[in-house]
Amino acid sequence: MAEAGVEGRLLIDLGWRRGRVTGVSVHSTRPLNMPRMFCGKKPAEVTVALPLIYSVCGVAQGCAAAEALEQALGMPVSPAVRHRRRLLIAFETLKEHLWQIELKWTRFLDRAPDRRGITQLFSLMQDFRAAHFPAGRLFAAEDSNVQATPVQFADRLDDLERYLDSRIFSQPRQSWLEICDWQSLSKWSRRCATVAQQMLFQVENRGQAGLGRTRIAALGALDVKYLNRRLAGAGADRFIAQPDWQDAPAETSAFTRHCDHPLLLSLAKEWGNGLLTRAAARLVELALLTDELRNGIVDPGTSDSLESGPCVGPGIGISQVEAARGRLVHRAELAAGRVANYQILAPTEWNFHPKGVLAGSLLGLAAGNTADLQQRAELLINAIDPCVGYQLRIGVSESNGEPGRE
Amino acid sequence: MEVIEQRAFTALCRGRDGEKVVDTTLIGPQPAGTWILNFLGSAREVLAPVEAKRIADALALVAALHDGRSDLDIDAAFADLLDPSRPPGGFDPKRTGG
Repeated sequence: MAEAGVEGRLLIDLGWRRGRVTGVSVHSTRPLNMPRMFCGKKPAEVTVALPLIYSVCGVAQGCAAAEALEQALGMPVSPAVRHRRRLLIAFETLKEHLWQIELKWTRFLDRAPDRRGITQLFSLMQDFRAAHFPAGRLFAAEDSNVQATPVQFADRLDDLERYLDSRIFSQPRQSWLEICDWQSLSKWSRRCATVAQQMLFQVENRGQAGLGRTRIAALGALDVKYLNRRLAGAGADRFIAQPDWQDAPAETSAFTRHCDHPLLLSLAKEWGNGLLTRAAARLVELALLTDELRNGIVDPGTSDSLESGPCVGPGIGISQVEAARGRLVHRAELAAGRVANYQILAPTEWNFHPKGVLAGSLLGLAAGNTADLQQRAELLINAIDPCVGYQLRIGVSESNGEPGRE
Repeated sequence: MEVIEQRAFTALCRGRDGEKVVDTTLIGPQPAGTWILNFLGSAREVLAPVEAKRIADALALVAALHDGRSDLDIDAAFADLLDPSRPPGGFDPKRTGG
C-alpha cells in the first residue's frame, strides 16, 4: 500500500467470489505526460534534471536520456562510454534485486534483513561512477577522461562477490549457475541456509510455486522504426499508457530477459511464469550481472573509436535500456537544438497494463479468505515490482465478477 | 526526506508532503538532520544535503506543473534547478512568471 505523491500510483481492484478472483482492474494515476516539461529545454539540461525526478532508477533513466539525445543530436559516442553506462545500469539493477531480497523476501520470511551487501554495493557503485564519469553526468558531451584503474574495483568486487555467495547462493555463483532444472533447484533450496534458499523453499512448500502463472508474451526486440511510428503517431499517449506489441500486452522483466536460461526454461515448463520462476529469475540475473560487472570492470576491452546510434530521422533519437524492472524506452525530438517533444515508455506500463501480466496473474487466484488473498496478491505484485506505490482493494461479491471495493 | 527522529527500525521524517514514518532497516539508524531517499515507505539511500534538496526542488517543480499552475514561470524554475551556483532548496513553486 502507498500514498499517492506526484508520481501517482496503481489502483488494483479485485473482484472476489466464492474463493476465487473473478475480476481484476488495474488503473494507473502516473503522470505519463510529465516529460513534456522538457519541451524547449536544451539536451544537456534534460540529462541533468531527469535523473533528479526519477531518482530511484536514476541511472537507467539518465543513460536512456543521454543515448536518446545523443542520437537526436547526431552525436557519435564511443563504445567505451556505452560500456561504462551499461556497467552502471548493472550496478543499479543489482542494487534493486538485493533491495527486493533484503526488504521483501526477509519480510515474507519474518527474518531480519542484512544491509551489508547493499552498503558495499552502493559504495562501489558511487566510486565507480565518480571515477568513470568525473563530471557526474552521463551525457557524452560532458564526459571527461577516465581515471579508474581496474584493480581498484576488482578487489572490492571480490568482497561483494564473497558476500553474495555466502548471503544468497550458499556456494560460489558459478556453481550455482550450473543448476539447470527445478528438481536440482528444489534440492538446493531445501538446505535453507540463506535467505534465498528459504524464500524458494517456502514458496514451494506452501504450494505457491505456480502462483500467478499466466500466458503472456515476453516482449521481444523492438525495432526503432516501429517505436518511432508508435510514439510519433496520433495514438502515442495511449501507447505510452497501455503499450502493446503484436496487438497484445507483453511482459518485460528479469524473467523475460533470461527466459531462455536452462534453469528458467525448466521452471517455466513446470510452473509457468509463476512465483517460483520469478524468484529464481531474480537470482539468475543477480548472478549473471555480478559476472558481467567482474568481466566489464577487470577487462573493459572496448574501443574508444566513435560510433553513431541508430538513425530514425533528423533530430529524433530513440534509446532502449534494460532497467531493473524491464525495458525502458526514451524518445527525444529536437528542433533548433532544443527539445520539441520528449516521451518515456516505462516497464511498469507494460507489466501493469489493464490486461497485462499482473492482471492475468491475479485473475482466477484462489484463496480461503480475504486476508489470504491479500497476502497472495501482494506477493505477486511485489514479484512483478511496480516502480510506484499501489493500493490493493478487494471487493467481495456474490452476484458477479466485477471488481468492487471493500 | 529529512530525519526528525530515529526510532528502533524506523524514523520520523519530514518531506514535501508532510511527516511520515519511514523504515530505515536497510540504511541503519540515522541522526536527526540526515537526508534520505524514501521509496514506498523505505529509506533507500542516505543523500548529501545538496543532492536531497535538488531532488526536492525537481519534484516540487513537477508537482507545480502537475497541478496545472499556468502562472508558473517554468523557464525560470528550470534554470534555478540547473544552476550549480544557486543554493539548492530554494525553489519556490509559488513564484510566478512575469
